[in-house]
Amino acid sequence: MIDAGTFEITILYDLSPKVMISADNQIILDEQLMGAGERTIIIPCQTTRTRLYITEKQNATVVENGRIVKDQMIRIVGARHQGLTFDERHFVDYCKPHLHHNDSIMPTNYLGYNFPSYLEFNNVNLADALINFTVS
Amino acid sequence: MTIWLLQLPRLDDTFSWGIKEIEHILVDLKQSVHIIDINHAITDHFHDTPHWNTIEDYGIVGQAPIPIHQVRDVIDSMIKPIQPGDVVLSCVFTVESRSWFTMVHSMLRQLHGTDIILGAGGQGCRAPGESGFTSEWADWTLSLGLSDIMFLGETVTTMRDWVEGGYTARGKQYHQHTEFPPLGHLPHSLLQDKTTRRHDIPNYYHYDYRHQDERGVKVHFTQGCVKQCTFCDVWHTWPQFVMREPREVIEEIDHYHRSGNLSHISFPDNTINASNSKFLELLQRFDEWRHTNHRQDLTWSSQFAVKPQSQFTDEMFELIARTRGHISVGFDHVSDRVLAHMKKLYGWQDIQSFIARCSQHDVKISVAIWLVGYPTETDQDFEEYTKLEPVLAKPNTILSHNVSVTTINRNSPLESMVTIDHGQPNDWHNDTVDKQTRWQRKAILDQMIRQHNPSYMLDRSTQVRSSR
Repeated sequence: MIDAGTFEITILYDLSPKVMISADNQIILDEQLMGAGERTIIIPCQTTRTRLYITEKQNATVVENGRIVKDQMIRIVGARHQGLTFDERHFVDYCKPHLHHNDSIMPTNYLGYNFPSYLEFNNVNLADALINFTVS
Repeated sequence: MTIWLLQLPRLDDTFSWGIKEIEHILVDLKQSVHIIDINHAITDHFHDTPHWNTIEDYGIVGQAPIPIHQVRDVIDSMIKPIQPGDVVLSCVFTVESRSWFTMVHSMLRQLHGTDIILGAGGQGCRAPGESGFTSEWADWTLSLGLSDIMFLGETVTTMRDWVEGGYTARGKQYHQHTEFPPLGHLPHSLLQDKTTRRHDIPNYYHYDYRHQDERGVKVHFTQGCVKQCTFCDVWHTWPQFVMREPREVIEEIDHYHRSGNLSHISFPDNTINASNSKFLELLQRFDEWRHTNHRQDLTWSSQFAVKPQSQFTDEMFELIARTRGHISVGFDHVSDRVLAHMKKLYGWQDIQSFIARCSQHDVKISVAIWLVGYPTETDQDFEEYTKLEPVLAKPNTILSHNVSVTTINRNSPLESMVTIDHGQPNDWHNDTVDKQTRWQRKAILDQMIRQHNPSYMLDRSTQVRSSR
């Protein structure tokens, strides 16, 4: 749980996903992100768990010559807290996000499926995540 | 605003030689600076506990199930005085202390976020073999935000520039001097301050039974090395060999003697005897000074390089013994074939002669260092270590031994001979040796040496650990 300071995550998105983000039981974002781009979201203090959903899928896939070349998606590419910055690799290694899809759970920072599948991670102080990784 | 210098845990209970020099530079620049000795606090709290071996493994391996809550409590109490707006510099002397750096700097960010400036410097900031601005580890810490500035190489100019620039510089700073920088002598105030340090002059040998009551200073004579041994990182780290005039060194020793409490001089030189003539002159001047000032009680220590036996005179051995010098010697192997590949420039006959002459003149060898698992070391080469047994069976002046497995430095001649992932540097291998072979050979040689020297085997540099 983050008990002090501002915790931010940065997500990349493509093909205008309708994104909902919950911090424990509180919805902190429910918005269609247009086109493709990057967004930084502040997760409130005292949050234990964050979940990301794509709630609607329309025009979710671009197919060319029978091949999928683009897909509607969101991907967590970084986090920042109290002066520490995790890039995508460090976020995946230290914060261990995972995807809940059907009955399976798999480690990833990428969500391409729509509701009710979701991406989830437990909120930890990045400092603690670093220390735990170092001493484990 | 205060500048805090953190001595992170290292291989033994000593100050890094650089931390005093950084303090000196900062005091010279009229900065308010204090040393926090986390190394000693960790040693003090855990040395006589069952946790000590695990904590030492943490330093060596970087990941171990240490008693994290207790360790954090100790560190937390040490860093409590640090306030927002302060500057913190950690001394990362060895590659092993990087794990401690990660923990301490993470805790500092947790406490103060970006309201403090974090920096680091020291030999451990670069992997052996990296030079100049190259430091993957520094890049990692800066990108994560664990530090704001990293000092690579020498700090005598970069530190001054940073302070005089109002601490605004960020990123990697690098400097390598080509002659000894004009640091001058440590001022009296730094030698006598009792409020923030544990000792008047750092007690470098607190846990070494041989030097328990001694107080020492580190004095430079040379830096760098004139050889290019294939496994060594010294010639990468300090590509320019520099040497002071012996007269200047004696003047500095005299200064510390007059400041009081001096009983031991530790030379951090890698090759104090790079120049036979200058080393002899240093010993002669020091011997003369000792008699003039009635300081025959003083001792000194340094690393020392073996050379072909014809290059050493009896006078040198006599002076080392008379001036009460203790030398640590990297013999590194016994096989002439391996020694030649290492570019040691001497052979087994020279090693035998050296040990015998030290014994004859009573020159103490505090540590004899041997390597196993060198990339060209065949079974036959390793079996040649049995040549040591009759040598050690005779009375000799070697107080302890250290057997190390060979590591591979980046950009060294050995790198192209092995398969190595520098993210897992201990797992390198080639057709001749692999990790298992190296550790088996270390165990065998440890056992053989221990049979001849049971009281003095050092598994690490900590004397007490090896006696358990």
